[in-house]
Amino acid sequence: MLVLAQLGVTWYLFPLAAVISLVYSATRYEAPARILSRAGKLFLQILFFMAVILGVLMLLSFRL
Amino acid sequence: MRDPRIDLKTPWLAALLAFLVPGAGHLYQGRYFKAAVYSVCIIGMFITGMRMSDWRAMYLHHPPPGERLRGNRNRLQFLAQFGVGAPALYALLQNKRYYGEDNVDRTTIDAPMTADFEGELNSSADDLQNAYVTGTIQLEPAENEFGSETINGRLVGTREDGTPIELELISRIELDKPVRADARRDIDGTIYKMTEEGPRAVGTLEGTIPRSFLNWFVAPVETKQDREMHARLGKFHELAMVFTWVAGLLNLLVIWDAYDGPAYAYGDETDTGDTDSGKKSEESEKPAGEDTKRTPAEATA
Repeated sequence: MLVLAQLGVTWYLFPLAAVISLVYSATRYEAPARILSRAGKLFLQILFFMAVILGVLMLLSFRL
Repeated sequence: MRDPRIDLKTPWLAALLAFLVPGAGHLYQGRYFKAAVYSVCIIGMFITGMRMSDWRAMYLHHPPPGERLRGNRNRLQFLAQFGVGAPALYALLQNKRYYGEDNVDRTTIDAPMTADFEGELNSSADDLQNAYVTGTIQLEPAENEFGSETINGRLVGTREDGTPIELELISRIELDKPVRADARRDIDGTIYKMTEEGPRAVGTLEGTIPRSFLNWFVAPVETKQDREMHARLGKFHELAMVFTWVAGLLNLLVIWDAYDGPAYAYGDETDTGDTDSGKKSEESEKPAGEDTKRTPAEATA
């Protein structure tokens, strides 16, 4: 935890997104293989969405 | 329609267990993979959030009518955290205990007590100097010269430089309230020195002793503590709150899963594209037939 703390708040996004993906997918399906594959996809979708938002915010704040 | 391969046993009991301890409902139903996922993820996230906030992320301030609010009104935050179950129920109890009539600073105790002490000695006496002191403090009920109940004490310990010290504390010892969101309980008192004329005050002792876990865990955080925590933790305090909120909200999905099974399908059906939109596949809606007689292990193979 200390290591993560030194890296900054943003890095907590990864475990947070992983947990949300895993638990959400587990409540949709029963088969472990399906849960894990859907969780992986959802995790990437969340990261992609956050990256897009980050990009938009960076563009909007360019030369501010 | 539920998949017949999933034995939900007694659904309401499973839901109750899932609420009290994330994953316990699924453990009761024999759905071990899910039990492991839920317990590790949700309990892990909750504990991480609590740890990041010095165990002060979850509490409820809901004073009884006529009582002054001693912290932030946080009902919505608590509502989001409530899904984690047992700790939230204990937070409700702690709120009641915290605002109880007997939860006040104490100048009397019912029985002798011994505790580890650490704190500051402030004295202008020649043989006593200001110092940081650690040691063991013994407290006992007593009566002062006016016949009122009070606390006497004795501290045996060492200064920072390692030199031993023994102090007598005669009356005027004040203990912090029993229930408070702090693992340490404040204590302060007046140090006396025995002289030919009787005891003479020569300084003060201010420090802390351990508070029992059940008296500080998820107890309401006071305004002063909250400000200090914000100043010290900054953004990590907000992050800790988010972790506990997400843990509580995710467990609501888990409780429903324990009660009614997975929302879409078993997950071993041919992917028709319907399952992700919430529709169960045709295969999963079939009555117990050839495919539905497969064990989960066979199904996932």
